[in-house]
Amino acid sequence: MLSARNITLTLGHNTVLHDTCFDAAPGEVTAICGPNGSGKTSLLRCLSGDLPHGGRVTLNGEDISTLEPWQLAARRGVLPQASQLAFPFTTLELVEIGLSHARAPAEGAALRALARTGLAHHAERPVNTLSGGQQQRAHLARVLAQVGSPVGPDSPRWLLLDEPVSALDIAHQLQVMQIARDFADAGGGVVAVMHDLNLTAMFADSVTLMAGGRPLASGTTADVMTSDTLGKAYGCTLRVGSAPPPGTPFVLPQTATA
Amino acid sequence: MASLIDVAPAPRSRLARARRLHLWLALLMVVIGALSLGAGATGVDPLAALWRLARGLPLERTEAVVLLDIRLPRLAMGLLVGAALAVSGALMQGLFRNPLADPGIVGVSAGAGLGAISAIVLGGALPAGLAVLAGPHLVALAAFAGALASTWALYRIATRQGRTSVSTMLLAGIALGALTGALSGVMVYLADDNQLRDLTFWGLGSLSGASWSRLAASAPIIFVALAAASTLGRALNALSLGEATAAHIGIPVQSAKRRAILCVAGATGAAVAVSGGIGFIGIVVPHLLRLASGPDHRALLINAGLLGATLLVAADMVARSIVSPSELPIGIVTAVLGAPVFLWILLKRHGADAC
Repeated sequence: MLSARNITLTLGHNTVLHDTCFDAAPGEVTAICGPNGSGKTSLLRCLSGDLPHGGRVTLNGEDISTLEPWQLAARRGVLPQASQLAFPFTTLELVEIGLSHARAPAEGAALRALARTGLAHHAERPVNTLSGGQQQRAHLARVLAQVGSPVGPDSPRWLLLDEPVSALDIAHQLQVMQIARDFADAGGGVVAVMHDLNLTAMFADSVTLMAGGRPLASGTTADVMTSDTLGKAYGCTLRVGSAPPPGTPFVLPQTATA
Repeated sequence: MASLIDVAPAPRSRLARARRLHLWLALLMVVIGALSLGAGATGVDPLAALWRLARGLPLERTEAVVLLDIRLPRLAMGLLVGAALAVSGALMQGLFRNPLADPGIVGVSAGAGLGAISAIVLGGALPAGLAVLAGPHLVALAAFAGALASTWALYRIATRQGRTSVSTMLLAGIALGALTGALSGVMVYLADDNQLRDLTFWGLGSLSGASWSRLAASAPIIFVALAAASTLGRALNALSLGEATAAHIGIPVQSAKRRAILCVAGATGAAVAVSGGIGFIGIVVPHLLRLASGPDHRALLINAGLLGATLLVAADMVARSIVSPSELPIGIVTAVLGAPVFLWILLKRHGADAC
């Protein structure tokens, strides 16, 4: 489990998280959704141990503030919203930096992670020359290489992803979400801050919906993603539809011609 | 899932190439060092001296003095100062995530300078006991103290709750540099004519004051700083992704930064103390090496030490021979070589930002 209890976070004079509790289970993709400024990224940064905050975060039962950086690095990887690379490392070198904590990284681990994100052919290109979306995938490859297999010797490993598909085209959005889904299906835990409600509905098992610095609702995707709850969180009227089950014929009236 | 067959061509490792470069740079350092022993105003030939020794004959008096007491300590100091400045530059650039960072920028050199200038101007006013105690090392000690004090002040200003903000540190460095520069100006105002001459020469940078006793004061500090710096490669690689990401990757960020800052203060302070303001080595050397073999700090820090040492000794040879039998301050030579490279980096970055 990844659990946060009574998280309070103050940045400057603003309290951005109020007494927030959060749970994510291994084997699941847990999405954190909510409007801009609702505290999604702040919550993720508390979960990854970036920011000093009130309350307690435990990862697989261990308080993360008691773990050394390299112990934490072996248990969870973090993909920030945007990463800047100061020097012209190649894509492969970038992924290898992610293996810094490992004493003896598995042979070819970096190349496998690059292949998984579809960047094997860009291994020798400087990261700074890749497009924004490719860079985002390169950093995902770095995080995948860092955590290694979804389940460690005695506990699941975790991916904490902050808007992992924000810079991607639709095919790569699906590819990246599938990587997250596969990681969870293999026993690992995934927590992702998501803006795209449709992708959330397709890939997440549970959703925590943030509003005004506290969770408005959390539970299974179907329970949270209702017209009422989403309308309340985003402050606008929304109607949640559902796709017809596969194999059922359906007709869209927009397709009619007179 | 993407097929693993995609991987086919095994990428060449730039790290391996950078490691092979260690050997070539070391070789180059030995060659340039040997050449510099033969260069100088008196026309003493180290090969002839070596040949005399090989035949079991004692050295002539001038040979012994020129080679052992003048050129050899000068060579040793050039190697040490060059390595210290280049490695300090590479460390600062990694720490600040900026290829244009340099000890000169965050006020470390300015702090060392204030120490040295104060010692030159106010040294005579010291209580007699203290003056005897410090003796000929006074300038060196004061410069070292100045570098440490400004680094410490910088660190205290920029660090809150164990976290250093790089932008605060850069800005504080500029402010501290201005402050120490102003204080140095006051010192220059107070100085008499003889002291002004000393100040000018010290400020331009020179290896001409090299002696075994001066070397004894700074060599151990530089050695320790260089050895400690060579263990920071992984941490600096991770830091190039930013502090938060470096921590995610498993680097103990705060302690790595503290060690890097201490190394810079030690190496720069000791180097400035014995040689004055020799600029641009810290910018030029790491930049050339990144072009040659990539930015991996595990190899870069060692290569920077080797190439920095070689380059400074070469620059010193130029400074000694170009207006022989007199000599140019070496800071002029490094600035003439280095400033265009600095501008070139700047322009290239500008172009990259524009597209």
